[in-house]
Amino acid sequence: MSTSNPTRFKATVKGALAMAGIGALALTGCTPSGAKESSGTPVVTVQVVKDARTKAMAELPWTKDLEAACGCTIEWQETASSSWTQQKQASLAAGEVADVTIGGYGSGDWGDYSSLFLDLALELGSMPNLAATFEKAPYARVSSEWDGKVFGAPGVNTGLMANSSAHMFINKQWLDELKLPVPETWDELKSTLEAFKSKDPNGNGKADEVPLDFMAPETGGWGWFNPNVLLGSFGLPLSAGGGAGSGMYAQDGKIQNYLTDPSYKEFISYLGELWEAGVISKDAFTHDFSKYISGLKGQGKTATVGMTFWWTPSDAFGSKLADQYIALPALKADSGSDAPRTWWFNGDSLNYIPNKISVAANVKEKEAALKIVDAFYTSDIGIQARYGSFDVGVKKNGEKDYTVLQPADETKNASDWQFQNSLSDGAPGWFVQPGVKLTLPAEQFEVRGVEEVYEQDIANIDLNSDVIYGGVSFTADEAREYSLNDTGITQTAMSKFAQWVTKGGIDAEWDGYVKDLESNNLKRQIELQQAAYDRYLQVMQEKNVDLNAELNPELTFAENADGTATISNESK
Amino acid sequence: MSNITGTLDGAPAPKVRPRRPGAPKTPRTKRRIQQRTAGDWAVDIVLGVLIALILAAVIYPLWFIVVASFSDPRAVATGEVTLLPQGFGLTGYEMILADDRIWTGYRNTILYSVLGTAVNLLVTLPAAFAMSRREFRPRRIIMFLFAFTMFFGGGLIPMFLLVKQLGLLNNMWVFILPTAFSVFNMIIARSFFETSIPEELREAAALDGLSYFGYFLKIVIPLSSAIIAVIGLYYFVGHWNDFFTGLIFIRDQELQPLQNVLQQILMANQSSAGAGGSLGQSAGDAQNLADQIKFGVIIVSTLPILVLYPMLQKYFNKGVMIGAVKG
Amino acid sequence: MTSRITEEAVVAASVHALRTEPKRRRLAEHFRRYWQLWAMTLPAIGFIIVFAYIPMYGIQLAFREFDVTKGLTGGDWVGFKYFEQFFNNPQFGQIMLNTVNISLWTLVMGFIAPIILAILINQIASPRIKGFTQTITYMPHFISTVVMVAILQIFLAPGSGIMGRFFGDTSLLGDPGAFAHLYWISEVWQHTGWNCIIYLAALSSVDTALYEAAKIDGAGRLQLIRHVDIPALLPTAGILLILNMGSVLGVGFEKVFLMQNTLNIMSSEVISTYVYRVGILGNQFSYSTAIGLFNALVNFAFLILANYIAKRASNTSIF
Repeated sequence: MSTSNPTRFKATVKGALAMAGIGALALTGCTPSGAKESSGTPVVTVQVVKDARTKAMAELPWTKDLEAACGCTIEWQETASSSWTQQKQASLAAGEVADVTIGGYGSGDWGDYSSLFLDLALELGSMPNLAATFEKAPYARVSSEWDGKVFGAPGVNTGLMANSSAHMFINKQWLDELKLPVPETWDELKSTLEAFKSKDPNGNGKADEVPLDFMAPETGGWGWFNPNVLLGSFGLPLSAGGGAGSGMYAQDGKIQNYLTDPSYKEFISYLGELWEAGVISKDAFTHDFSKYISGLKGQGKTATVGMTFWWTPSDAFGSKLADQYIALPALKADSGSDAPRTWWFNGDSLNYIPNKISVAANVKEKEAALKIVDAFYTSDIGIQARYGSFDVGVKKNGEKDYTVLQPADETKNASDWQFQNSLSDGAPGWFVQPGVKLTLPAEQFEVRGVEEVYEQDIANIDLNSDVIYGGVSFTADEAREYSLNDTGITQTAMSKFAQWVTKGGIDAEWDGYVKDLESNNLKRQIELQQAAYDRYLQVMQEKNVDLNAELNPELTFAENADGTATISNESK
Repeated sequence: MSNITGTLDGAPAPKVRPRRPGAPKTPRTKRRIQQRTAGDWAVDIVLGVLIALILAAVIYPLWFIVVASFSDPRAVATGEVTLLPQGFGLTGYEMILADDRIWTGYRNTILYSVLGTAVNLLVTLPAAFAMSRREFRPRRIIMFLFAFTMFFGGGLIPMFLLVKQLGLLNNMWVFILPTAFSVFNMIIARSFFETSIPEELREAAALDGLSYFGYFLKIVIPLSSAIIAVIGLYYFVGHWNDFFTGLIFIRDQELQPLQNVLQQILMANQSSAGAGGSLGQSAGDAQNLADQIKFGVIIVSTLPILVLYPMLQKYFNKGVMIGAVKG
Repeated sequence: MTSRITEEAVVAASVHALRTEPKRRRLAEHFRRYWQLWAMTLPAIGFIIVFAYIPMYGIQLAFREFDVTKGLTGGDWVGFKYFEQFFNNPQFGQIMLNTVNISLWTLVMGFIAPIILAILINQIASPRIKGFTQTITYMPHFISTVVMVAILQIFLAPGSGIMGRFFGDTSLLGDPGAFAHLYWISEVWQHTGWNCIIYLAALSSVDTALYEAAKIDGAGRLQLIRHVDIPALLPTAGILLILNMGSVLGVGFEKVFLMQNTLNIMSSEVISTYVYRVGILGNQFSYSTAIGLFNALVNFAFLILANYIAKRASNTSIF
């Protein structure tokens, strides 16, 4: 009960402190963290926000190459990503920013704190490699721009990533067992799931099958791996950028919102039918992430979940069960319709991860700091930052020719190994840049096979006008106004969604719900998004970016006999 | 009266302490056995049942944590683990203990907790005593000003700047000085001084020419072992569990206390699932890793502190002495 | 009793004497008599000034726009804009209702449970069982919130959970009506043992002569509890009750946040989680400071009220 206890009291007081506080005094121009000379070389403080598995930066051999490249000594400050949000609050508001920060700040911070960061666009003259990246991959520049300035340089992952983080998987072994075809429509899916439930497809004699499970939708709005990907059946081009959580999407350059759309109502009703048929996990809205992800792994070699939404089969179901599952493209909402279908798309920010590295405005050793930033965009350092040091994570076969290695320690799985030795997908850089040949082990391109089934769905999206891009950002004032109404909208929408699916009543309550959302200024929210989106599209046009072409640049991808694959970029 | 002064003169604190009956044969229990009535038996049965129920309700989840820490995390999350470990393994502990940072964390936490608690008691007890003196008229306004700070604070940023200006950023004293004085604990101690130390003692002490210092050191402190134990425990556990300070004010891994180290190991990249830290890649793996150690972490971080309380319990049995003084 | 009266008479007399003297001599006299008490309070006062009062200038942010380039005291003055924003928010009523509901349940139950547990433990005759019970009930306090909520999840899982199997086929965590109860019950479970320590300490200072005297008068066990134990607990209980009244709006953040889901959100959103979403994640320092200040004012008002009432009713008070 905490009530009569000092700890709670302290917690309360601390809460009050944090709330009442976060009062801020900016010491603009306060001293940057100690730039002292040691053995004649400049010292640069680099704050890195990293996965908790990553070793101390100084222990990673590739950081020595980085120091050689900048001709400086790096003083590392390291924070696990889970602690960063709170640390960031305190230090930003106090104006305390390290010389260079990797993975710490994003477009949400530029609004209030742009004065603390250096506009890298003005410094491109001393960063030839970053300049070349921006020139040859112009979308990298577009996604990095904020109000005409560049406060963060990107991680360009083209060729290594996917078009979408979320895919729909169904247990093919169960389908075969029950002699069912792969479902293509919502109706077929429903009867398939019903068969999963009643016909013991895993053959263990127990009715332990959960036909459909998904990550519990969050109260803060639609997130990743949620069932709303089914909306692609109606041709709604869902994406992951600003406002996606509260139902925003873009079509032909116009921002729209599906929360009040009839197709959304149909989607909820359909899930309601599934719930009533008992084919959705009873815990789907209440289980936490760990219970969900453990459930997917079944019992040894016996699968218990028929269908879910996730990144790849092996990540979701574990190596023992992964090959039972296949990816399922967007289904037809209604068997008669041939309307174009789409799939949830966030390929822009998967391939061009914005704001991976920033420099403080008051940096003392500016030259050295810029060299650090630039070094990541050379292929040697970029690749090592992404996959691990030479001979630990990567083998260098020759000039710009690399092979990603399997873990030397056999007890480690490949992804642990990568996270321990590198910044992984948190690394700044351009990895498969012109001239680079990169050979990857099978796990690293598993997602390519998954994505093949979505080719047509993605092709139905015009990447130049149907996507809310990850880089779309608000001004400080817009952000303030937007976030004020957003909580009300997402909480109403998400709680109604959960309630209608599990308890019904959507027909009676729909009109009241629409009014409710409007009273939370939904229209104004759309306007705000539109303004931000228009600015972004304008920059895209100014820079002549055609994302349809640039997202999938001309890379060659060849599978090798030993199960690896080689990606090479033969452009100049 | 003479009895009191006699005690005061003859029995200063250290000599009294060993006389305290810490163990089984208190006169009270003996007598109770001799004088049982039917009503007492009924009370005993009800009491026994209640205590048994309470213990069961508390022990099972604790047992579950222990069992879970030795089990396959998948089996734990899906509810297969109930009474005994499923898929027994020590992987969780191996992962925790293999991390060198743990030992640095332990050393730091013990240092901060011991030193911090010492400073806490040195600041809190005298203040609580002064605040308990009714004749000390400014005490009401001082108490008000103290209590005010339990509600109103400047917030994180002014605190951050202050800590920085005092040179406490990345400095072990940041674990000790800002939390040196807790108003809550002072109020608890003061309330004990007011209600449990007979006022006659002060009068007698005054007759004996003892100043406030002397009275506090020679009479009040020796009579207050129970409250000192409680306040000390509160403070110690507060330091032990302090996660916030390390999070905000410490960037040097060498200075991080245990809780922050464990949090770093535990959180792996739990945020990656939704927040986009790792863009969905291997979020499933990361969670599995975190689950593997989630329960073990609780055990590793609290085992040392669990033994503290039983050690302090003996200071709670001291009523007899006050009785002797008064009698 | 007599001593209290004489003391008050003495104090009154000396006060009267002091009032008639010139101010400076009165002060000198005060310090001559009480300098030791001042010396004992000074370290505490020092820490409070430095670490509590100095940073308090941050509060003005509630009335200013936050602007990092101008510093905390440099933003434009906006008066009560952020307070009005909070009160006019469509969610305001619901959030306040949820906060007070969860908080009152926790406060009342969390206040009573440790007293009962302390009395029960104090009744145990065997020192070994007594020590064991104390130690066991104190342990759950050290379970972190994250693990506590994970345990709730596992125990309440429909079908497989040790408790979940008795509550139909959906999780109680998804039942809006059950949220406050799940919250307070788990809080009571976790912290009662810890919170009863202070009461056990109070009971341990009871004069055993009182028990003997009562027994000679023929009192049974229940009467001993009623006439000896409970009166011994009252001063501590009173102080803790007053302090608790000062946290009527203080429902902690982490646990509620972790227990929230789309099914219970309408009854589980409280002030602290709202501030987290809008203020912290949205970088709205002024807004979160204003809500924090409102929160503190309400809590402080309750503390003062409780203090006043307690002083009138039982002569127990904090200041």
